[in-house]
Amino acid sequence: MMHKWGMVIDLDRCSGCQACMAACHAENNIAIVGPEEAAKGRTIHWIELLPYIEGEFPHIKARLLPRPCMHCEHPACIKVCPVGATYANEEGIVGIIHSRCIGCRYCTTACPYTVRSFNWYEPRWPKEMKGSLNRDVSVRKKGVVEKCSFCHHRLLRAREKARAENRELLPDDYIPACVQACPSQAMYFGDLNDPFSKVSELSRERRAFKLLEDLGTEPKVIYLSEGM
Amino acid sequence: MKSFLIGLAIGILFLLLLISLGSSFRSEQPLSFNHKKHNDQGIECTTCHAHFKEQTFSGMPALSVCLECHKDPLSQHPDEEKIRQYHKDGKEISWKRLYQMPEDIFFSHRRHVGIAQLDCRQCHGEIGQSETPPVKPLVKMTMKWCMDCHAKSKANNDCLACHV
Repeated sequence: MMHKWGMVIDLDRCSGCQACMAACHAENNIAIVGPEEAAKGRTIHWIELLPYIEGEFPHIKARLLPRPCMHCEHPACIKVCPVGATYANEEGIVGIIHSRCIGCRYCTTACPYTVRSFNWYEPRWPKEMKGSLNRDVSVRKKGVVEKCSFCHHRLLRAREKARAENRELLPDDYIPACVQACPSQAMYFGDLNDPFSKVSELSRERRAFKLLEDLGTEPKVIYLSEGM
Repeated sequence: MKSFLIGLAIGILFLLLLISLGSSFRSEQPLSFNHKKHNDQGIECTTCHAHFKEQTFSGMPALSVCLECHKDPLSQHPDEEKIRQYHKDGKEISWKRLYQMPEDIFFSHRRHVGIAQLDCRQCHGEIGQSETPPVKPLVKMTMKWCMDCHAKSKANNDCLACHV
């Protein structure tokens, strides 16, 4: 059966350290914008920690929620793209073909999780970082939209390795950078079509929920709620 | 008579312009490398383009590879001296790449040649038989051309397989 890649984020374990964000930035050549641009809300993050307040005043708790692309089963972004630059592949990963994107930003508006970022500027890095770009991932140009790809290039690398070693793809072969970097092991990644995979087991837990479930987008990122 | 001369002059100028344009496109390589001659000696592609098994690129030959044979004169060709001149100057030969992938395309020699065992000629044509450096790729690589081959060989034809 075809794989269906999914992620589980255990909010009970997440300490909000943002290691996932840093790892993602390094892995995916995400451009860094300056403070002025950031003040305009023009930063680019493929995974972000969303702050939110739980409960009612005065009994409130401040929480942080890591939010990558949900890779929805029924993504709103694909329906609105006028040029077919975004699509879902056979394994359920929602991808962007950057060379096809015309930068209309319909998708950034349509996405209920606001995971998509627009490149307002030509990408720039401090000169010390020039040599550290990941060659498996393209550098996006000004004027296109980008978002999390579940580190799809890592899947291709893993398949390449498995094939070179003449074996099947193993569950631990393919793990996105954020999951790998998480120091408190709050993130899990795997095949949701395999009923015995770790992510499948966790997705059946009592604590499991998805963001904005009533929209019917059917995200493939599942959260485990805190303090239950 | 006068108009004829003017016409002739313009004609000659035009011809000269065409020739100079033509010659500037003829060869951009720093020296006139003869693939056929090397191939006929039984030298494999991998001797000079060595990295395809492990890397995305296959690589251009380092000066040290050339010098293994050309340290002392082997032939009468004037370009052979250039190799030793590079060595004297302590410089690498600035080979020009013919095949340039667009920046957002991921291509891996390891995947195509190392693992899928494709022949070099599938994409590079009969470059092994060329006597002067070609100025443009011998095989025109278009997206359709890539995808046709992927479909035929049942390789991954997903957009994300190449557009990273």
